[in-house]
Amino acid sequence: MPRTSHSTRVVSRFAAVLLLLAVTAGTPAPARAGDSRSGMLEIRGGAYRPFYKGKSGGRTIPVDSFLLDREPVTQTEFLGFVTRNPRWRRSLVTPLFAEPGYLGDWSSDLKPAGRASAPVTRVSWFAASAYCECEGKRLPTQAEWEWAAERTRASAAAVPASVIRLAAFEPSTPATKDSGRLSFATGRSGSGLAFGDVWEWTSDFNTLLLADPSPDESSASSLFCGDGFRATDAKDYGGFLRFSFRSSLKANYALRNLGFRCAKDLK
Amino acid sequence: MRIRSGWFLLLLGTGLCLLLSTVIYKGVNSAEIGADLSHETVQGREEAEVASAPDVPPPITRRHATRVILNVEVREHVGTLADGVQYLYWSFGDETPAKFIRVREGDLVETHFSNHPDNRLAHNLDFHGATGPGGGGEASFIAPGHTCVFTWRAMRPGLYLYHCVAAPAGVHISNGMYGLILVEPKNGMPKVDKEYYVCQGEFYTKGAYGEQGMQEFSQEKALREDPEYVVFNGHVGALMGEHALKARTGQKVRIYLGNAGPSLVSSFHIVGEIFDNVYGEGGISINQHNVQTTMIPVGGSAMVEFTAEVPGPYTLVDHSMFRTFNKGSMGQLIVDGPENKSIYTGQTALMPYEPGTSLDRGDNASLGGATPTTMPQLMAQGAQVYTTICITCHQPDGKGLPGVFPPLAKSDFLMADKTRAIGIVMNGLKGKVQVNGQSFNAEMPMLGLTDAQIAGALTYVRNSFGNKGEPVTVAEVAAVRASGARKPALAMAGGNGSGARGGSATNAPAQDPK
Repeated sequence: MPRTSHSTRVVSRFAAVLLLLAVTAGTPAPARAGDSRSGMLEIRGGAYRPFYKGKSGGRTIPVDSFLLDREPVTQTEFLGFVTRNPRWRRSLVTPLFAEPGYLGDWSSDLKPAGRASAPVTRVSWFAASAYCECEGKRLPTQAEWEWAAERTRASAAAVPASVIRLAAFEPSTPATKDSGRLSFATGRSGSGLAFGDVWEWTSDFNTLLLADPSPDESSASSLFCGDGFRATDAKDYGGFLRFSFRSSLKANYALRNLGFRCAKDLK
Repeated sequence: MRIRSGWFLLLLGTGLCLLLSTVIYKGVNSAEIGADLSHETVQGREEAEVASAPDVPPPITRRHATRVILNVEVREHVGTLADGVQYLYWSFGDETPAKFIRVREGDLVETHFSNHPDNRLAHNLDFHGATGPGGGGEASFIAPGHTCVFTWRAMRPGLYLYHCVAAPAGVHISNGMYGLILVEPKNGMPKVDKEYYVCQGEFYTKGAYGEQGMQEFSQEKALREDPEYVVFNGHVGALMGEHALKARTGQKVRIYLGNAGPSLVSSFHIVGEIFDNVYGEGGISINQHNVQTTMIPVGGSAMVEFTAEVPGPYTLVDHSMFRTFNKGSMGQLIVDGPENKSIYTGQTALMPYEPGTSLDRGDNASLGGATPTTMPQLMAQGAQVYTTICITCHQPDGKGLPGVFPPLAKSDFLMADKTRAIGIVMNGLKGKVQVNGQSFNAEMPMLGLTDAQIAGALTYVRNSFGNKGEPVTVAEVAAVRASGARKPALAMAGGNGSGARGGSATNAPAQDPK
């Protein structure tokens, strides 16, 4: 058990992403309003079964209960962040921490694109991490994100096939445009997690490492043809698309369809 | 920058300088490939020759290897799969199949691979013509909004598929990410008059074939390898009507064929043509002449050549006809030119035909539709059944095969018990039997005959091959069937089957221990 938590922590120092989809989490209980956790949902912990089995086979890794933002961080919220923290403005950001497309759809340093409540995208992992830190939060780990999405999926009776559809198979307006916002959310406000049509960063850098502290050496090739046999569920095509996408990222990337939300430990 | 490198070479002419220029070049292009004197010297650089299906770029006349610059962009976009049917294609460029690429053996293919920023997914590129991990799959795996560069040497001439291989690879391929690249031999392909590009692929839609509107990918059908669409060149009708391939009589035609699958092998055929030459599986040797249908494996290719000789429309098909008829794998070739009556006359006569015989079409037409009742009717029916079914084992002379199939000719077992015989023909037989003193242990299957066929067959065998017995009537057969016995008869008396009753003591064998 100590080995596992250590590994999880090690991995969580790195970046990665999460893809998003889905709908509403039924089991989580709403956090109490009025404290720093408002807008967050408590996700009850459990045993997460990693997407890739790794050398150790299909064992699970523990996920502690945690808080997760109900919705991805919005354009307006991110504007507040860069207003208070000039070094994360488009014209001032350290190039090492964000590629040239960073906030590329904003018309200027303090003029966001599209609707104020749309998820912010074109933000690097560094910027997303900094945002969460300023809020007294952190990015969720990939295990946390997947765990929450899984609970959501189960409770909403949404099957992996619909995840594929939401992730990639449905031509929809990019999330940065007005209509993209929460177009697939079915949860009533206050009752669950809302997932938009954007991918989301997670804290872990390498998805494959992340899920298992002892990946086998052929991890890289597993992104391609083969590797249904290494996955816990070779028919989870949505999972393959998520993990494939995450593994294509670098921490300075700022993509049109990639946003984030924050998580927080339950103390 | 390359010119500057050349100047250094001229001025200094030393190995050190060569190294320096290589370093400079590398810095500029970030696409250098290791130098190796064992390969043909690469001279110059040029844009890759490409063309949109069904066209093929012109033959390469260059007599040296060069650096070919190839740009490929991934675009996830809505396209038309069939009339009124839209699909979110993932493709290289805006086309499925992607551009036909033509390079020369020995060329360096400097591939600039871009993933459009509006795309949702990571993609990559696997060239079957490249030698290296993933055919470029690892080097080219990138997120949306990024471009990467990798270079590979086209060492082995042939016709190769290229496709995306990001997980799940089948989804990327079936959504449209594939094309063909021809690595021409150093001395080129033999000259022909027309060249075309045809690539087969499948689409797995939730809606049935032809269902209108935007269609989603069906994972369920994909895993069953049961596509709704099997098409040539990316959508239904891509090679039909005004888009048909065209040739003049007398022209030699070559078609570069690919099959992206990802599930179904193609049996490529042109109705009314014979392929003079086939380059099997896309290699550079003609391995067969006079071929009617050539196999294109999934993830593979072939080249076919033929001469257009008789004018008219020719249909390109995957000869797995149900998919061609109902799923779209059909195209057309229109040949124009003068008729050639020495090869093909067309229809020259038409007249009525009345041979004066009738055929048994399974509806008792030869019996006037009546149930056989008389001895001649039963014998006629029985002869038909015997000569189409029973004869296979019991032989034309009814003597069977010694030790394998029991004889019917002068068979004590057959003649001893009519009811047992009916049960055996109706339900089959398992176990040992003694016939004319010989032991047999072969199984007779249930044949699924009608009562009239059974009555006829038994009447026939009981009155042929030296046997003489009363007819077996349809009513007697119906009575056995009504008794409800369903299991194959066991040979031993007192067994489970209806046919097991009443064998004579002398003929009754020991019960099969099984």
